[in-house]
Amino acid sequence: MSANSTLLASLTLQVQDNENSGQTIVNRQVPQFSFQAVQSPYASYVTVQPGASAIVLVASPLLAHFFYVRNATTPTTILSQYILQVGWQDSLFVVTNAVALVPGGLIMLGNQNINNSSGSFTQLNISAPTNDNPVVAEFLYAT
Amino acid sequence: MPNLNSVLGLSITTVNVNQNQSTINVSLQGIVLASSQIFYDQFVPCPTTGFVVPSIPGGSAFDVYVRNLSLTNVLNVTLTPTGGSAFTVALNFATSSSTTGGIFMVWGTTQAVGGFSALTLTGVGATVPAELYLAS
Repeated sequence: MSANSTLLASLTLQVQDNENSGQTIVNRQVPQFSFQAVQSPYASYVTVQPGASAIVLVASPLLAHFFYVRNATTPTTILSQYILQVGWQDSLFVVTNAVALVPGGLIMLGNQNINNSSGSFTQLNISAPTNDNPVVAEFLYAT
Repeated sequence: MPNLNSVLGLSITTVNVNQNQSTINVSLQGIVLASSQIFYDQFVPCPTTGFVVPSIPGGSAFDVYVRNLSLTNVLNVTLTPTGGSAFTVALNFATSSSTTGGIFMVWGTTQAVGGFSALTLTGVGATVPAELYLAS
């Protein structure tokens, strides 16, 4: 299958020193990540219920090489009660509920090279811990 | 006491190749972790025996960014969530010098929850250079 879209991701990392008038002491514009995608499903607002079965996003028939998930819950003072759990089924390694994101937190994995399956994945799981509150997820993945 | 701001800007766009039209446009600027310590190295040689980050700043890193700089070899990133079990992510190499190798990033916005207590970068088949950023 041929690519239907070009996915571009740009990152800037900065560190500001508040003891020195907010001077920028690290300023890194990461080279743009580009990926030729067949599918690139995106959702801006998905409510994840606590303790419910994970939302499972399956990459099929192609392997996925990029995902981005953000805890889009409106910031609250009790961040620890609005956790979004993200896991994925790597082609080489089994990863389950690997990362906990607080509101505003995000995770991104991108492998541009589709000629080598390392880093690709077949499934993305998004869930919220039991006893916490509903959380909002934003996600995008690409095959 | 945090005396630094670790700030991320991220934009993700998709462009329809047939119509040359932008279809998705996510633009996030000013995602901040009030931070006490940061570590940045633009070129970390990671041997096949593994480069262990000698001291995660502050005990746990809440912002983690790793990029494979190799054009020939995979880089394995092994992370241990604080209080959790380690997992490994493979970062593929770039196909040419004009493309970008695999990127893995987790960006937290508070030191209160989550974080990673250990990080090992392992070259697969050879020593692999990586770009690394941590904040806590």
